[in-house]
Amino acid sequence: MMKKKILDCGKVVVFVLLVVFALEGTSRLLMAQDNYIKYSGFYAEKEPFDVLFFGSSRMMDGVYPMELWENYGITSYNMAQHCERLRITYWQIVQAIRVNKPRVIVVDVSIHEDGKISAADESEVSFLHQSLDHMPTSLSKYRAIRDILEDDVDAFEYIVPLTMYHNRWDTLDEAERPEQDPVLKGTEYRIATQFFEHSDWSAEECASLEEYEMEYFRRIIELCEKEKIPCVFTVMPSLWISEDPQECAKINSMEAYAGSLGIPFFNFAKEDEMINYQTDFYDKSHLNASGAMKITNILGAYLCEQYDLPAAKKDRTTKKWMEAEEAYLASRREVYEAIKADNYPLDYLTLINRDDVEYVIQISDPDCMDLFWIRPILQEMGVDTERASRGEYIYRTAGIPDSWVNNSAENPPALTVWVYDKNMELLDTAYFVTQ
Amino acid sequence: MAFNSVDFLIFFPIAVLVYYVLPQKIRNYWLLAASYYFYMCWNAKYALLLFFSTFVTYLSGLLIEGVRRKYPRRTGWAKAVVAGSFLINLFLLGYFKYAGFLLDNVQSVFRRLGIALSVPRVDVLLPVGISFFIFQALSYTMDVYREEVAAEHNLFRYALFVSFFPQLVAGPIERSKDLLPQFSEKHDFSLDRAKEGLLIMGWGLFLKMVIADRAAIFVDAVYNDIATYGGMYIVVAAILFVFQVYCDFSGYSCIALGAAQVLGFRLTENFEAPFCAVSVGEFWRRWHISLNRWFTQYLYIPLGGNRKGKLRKYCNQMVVFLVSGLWHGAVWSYVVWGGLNGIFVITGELTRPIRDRIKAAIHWRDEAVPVHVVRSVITTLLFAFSMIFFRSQGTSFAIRVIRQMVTVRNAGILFDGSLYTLGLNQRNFVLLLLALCVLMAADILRYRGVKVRGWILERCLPIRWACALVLILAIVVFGIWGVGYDKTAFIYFQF
Repeated sequence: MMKKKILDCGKVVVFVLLVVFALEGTSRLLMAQDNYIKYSGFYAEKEPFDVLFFGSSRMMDGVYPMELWENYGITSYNMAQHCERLRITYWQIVQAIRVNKPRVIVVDVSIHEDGKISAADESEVSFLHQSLDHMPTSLSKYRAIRDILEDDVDAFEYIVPLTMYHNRWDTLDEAERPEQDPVLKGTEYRIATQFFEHSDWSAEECASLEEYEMEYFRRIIELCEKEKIPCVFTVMPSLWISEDPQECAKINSMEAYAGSLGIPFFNFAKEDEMINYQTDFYDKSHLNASGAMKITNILGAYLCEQYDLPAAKKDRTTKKWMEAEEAYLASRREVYEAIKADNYPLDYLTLINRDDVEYVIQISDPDCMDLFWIRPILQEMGVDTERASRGEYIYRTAGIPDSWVNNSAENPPALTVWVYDKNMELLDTAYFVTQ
Repeated sequence: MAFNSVDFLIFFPIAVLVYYVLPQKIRNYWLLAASYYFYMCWNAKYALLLFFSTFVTYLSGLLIEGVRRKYPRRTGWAKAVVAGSFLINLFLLGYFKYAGFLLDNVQSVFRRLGIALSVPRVDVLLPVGISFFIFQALSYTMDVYREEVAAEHNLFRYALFVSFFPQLVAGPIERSKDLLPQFSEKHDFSLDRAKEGLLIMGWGLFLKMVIADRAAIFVDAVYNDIATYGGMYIVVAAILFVFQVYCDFSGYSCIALGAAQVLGFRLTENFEAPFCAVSVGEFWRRWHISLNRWFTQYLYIPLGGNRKGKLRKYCNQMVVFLVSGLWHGAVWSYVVWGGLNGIFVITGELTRPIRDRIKAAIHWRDEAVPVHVVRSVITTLLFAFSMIFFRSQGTSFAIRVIRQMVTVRNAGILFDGSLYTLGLNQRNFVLLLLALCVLMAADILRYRGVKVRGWILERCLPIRWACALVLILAIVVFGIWGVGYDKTAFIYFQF
């Protein structure tokens, strides 16, 4: 009798576990595809990352982990999410370091407001799902939800993401769903360019922040101290911030506070010499690929120097990241081809405006500079646009040897670009016409 | 607290666990407390109403027993007690459910007579499930009077009979002689019984969440804009509404049945494959069985039933259908709905000899499957037509719906994808049809005496687990629930 009871109990436990696994699997299958892809690479990584990046979409668009790997050998993941307040970022860090404890954490504090979120605010709620739904169900996640939401009435839909996603079965298309995203490592490619006039940092003084405004900034610092993870703060270039004296003053205060504790604070919105407002912005708040490459390189060099990165890696880590790099480069080439096919020279030039390549630019039709809106980026790349506007012109970067031979056709298109690596191996050739 | 809510998902396991952990003696007290808590989740103060109805009928049982013992030859006293119990309970029902309806109609009659009469508005919130628990309580008074059950002396046990949470708010309306003795039985936990109970609950949730709530999306879209969606849209909506109500209510009944079974109690099955019925009369013997049994026993038979000639029988049937319509709600369209069904039943009986002769002439055999299918479809369509009044919440609106259905010619919408623009895309629509096929397959098997759950439970463990997992995943993935869903929307709660 007792034996039967024990057997029955065992069966019940096994069945309940089966149901839990089936529901968890279903949840992952049905979860928002972009959200699933965004974090899949993070959860797939078994070795500790060198760096994890946190913050809002400004960080998400501002640092490219695969470029850090390619240029500096740093393994990193961009955990930042759209419209993420510092309060949510704090919980993102809490959850992330439970899964993968990095050597350094970089947090963007551009969106430093950290009030609670009301369930009635639909856009905030939508973004909050993007931030929270990837987290595995746990007591800590429950605490995060209770802390973030104004009322806990709607907490269930965050604790059990199936509440939101179960009815996505009718749009589910397995073919469009990669298992994980080896290419972007959490970041987002912004390729288009908007032109802005330079905006000075509009306040030098510090503003007194309300206690609640500093609370999560402090809590992040305390968390990193407790976990013994060095922390770096950033403020990504953004005209919304630099044009707003109040925002500037508040960020000045945060910078002063971090400085008083000896914590590095990079205010790229203020110290913006490296940023070209006519070539590096996707919109008023987000960098495009050109701007992101600049920030990525600054941070890469700094992190390598300050924290002795890249860390010594196991063979299998290196191999996996090398494979990821191949996929990344292939994906980048696809992007180049698409841009060439669409005849978008501005986007192409934005992407190749990098320190690790050499290029030759042949302008055969001077009008193309105005038609394509490429004059600012050409200037940024070193082209003498005044000369180019007078007739056919060829520009070569310093690394291109004098022996370079122009082998273009007799009637070249309006704009031709040859891209080489540092060893003068031809990587790509692009032709753009003015029609 | 709705059966398909997170609250119930937490409440039910706790109620069951504590019930089996407690000593036998105090389990009923726990169930009573849980039942009142369950009811009070809607509106705490209406628990007083529930208790008042309980106390009146409890007292009536004791009084009937007392006067019988004291005056064994004088039935008048017992009858007076029954009348008193009925009057008090029907007054409660009338006040909360029909006062507004009655006063509106009085005002309307006076207006037609040219007399301006100002009547006060009765604006009270209808207590959930009032018609169900009052009918169940009254059945006890009547059963004690008929000496079908002994008067219950234990107030707590009797209160539990009236308020037993699985069937408190939407039935099945149990006879006292069936349910009351079960509260004196000893219920040990049985895994087999619990498994069957949970399977029945799962099937109920499937009916409610996958079919009823999905069909409701289409039906509501059409009924909310009949000026735009006429003709075949209304035909499809009317047919889907029949299945919506069936799955909504039978889904609820299944959950009630399953929940009671997990606790060790047996409740009446409220539906017996009604869409397999071959006549409206048979349909009503398979639809909302517990209510129809109540009306048969406490209204139709006291009126004379079929013992006083055919004309009286038809009159009694008509009265039962009209009252049944009124029981569903204080709106004339419910009465018309009941009346239409009465007409269908009576006409069916009156024309049976003619139909039998025609069938004999063309060699139709009732047992032939095609004949059965045709008769079932006709029965379903007749019921679906009457249900336009049930859905319309007003006779004038129902007439507009019928006019729109008849006058607009748009058969093409059945094939050009227009049906997929009313809240259900193509995949959802196809899923609804597939789920209806599953439902009909289960009902046909049931009609033939095969219970699917019995079949599943007799299979080997992997098949049993696979079936249970598929059911759970189907409810979770295909069910209409989650953000933006009104979990309190069981149709029969309003009655």
